[in-house]
Amino acid sequence: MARQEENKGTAGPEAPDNRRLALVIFLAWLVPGLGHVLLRRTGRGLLFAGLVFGSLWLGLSHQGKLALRDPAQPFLTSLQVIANIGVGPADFIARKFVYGESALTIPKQGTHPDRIQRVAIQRARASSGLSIYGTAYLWTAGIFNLLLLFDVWDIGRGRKW
Amino acid sequence: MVKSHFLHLLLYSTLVSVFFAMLLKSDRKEQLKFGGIIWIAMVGGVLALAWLMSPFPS
Repeated sequence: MARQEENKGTAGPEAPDNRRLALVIFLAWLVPGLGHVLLRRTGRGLLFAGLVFGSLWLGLSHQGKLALRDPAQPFLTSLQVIANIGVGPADFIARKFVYGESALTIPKQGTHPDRIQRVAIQRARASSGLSIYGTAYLWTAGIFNLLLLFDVWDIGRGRKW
Repeated sequence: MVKSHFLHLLLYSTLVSVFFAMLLKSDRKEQLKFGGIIWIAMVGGVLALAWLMSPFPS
């Protein structure tokens, strides 16, 4: 409580208004680390960018699974997709390379050509013994960036220095 | 591509501990201490669990 009182109004004159802060958060999602750079935490922003992109690179280079929402298991696969797209447009670019398009779902029908193709791609990537690590790196990159968005929000609102 | 499972443990623990130390602490000394604790907890926890499981091979 005392700490909350202490932190009140510490944002100072440079604190962005809500609309600008929303834009900064959106930009932080587009480019991991950019939110911190825009809020004058350049060193941290660059380090965070390195960690997020490093994790993404490790995930892709270890044949990590880019999750697709499967109607057979909608809840868990949706959470996986959210973890993946947390990293921003880089995830959609990666999907374009892996699936040939920015696919986020697997069609429901068992014989749909897209379903057959995407399941085959996922199985081929999972055949590598290290794919499970790649998948963990991919989720980690996305979740790191989602946490960074909350951090940007806290800094922008003056709750954190 | 890193093929060693143990190196992945070290790499992943380092990634996570550096991230959370930078995210949650602002002072350099605190960052080192907090990051070190996370790293040791992750690596030590996995090794301890592996040791506990060693009498029960699959």
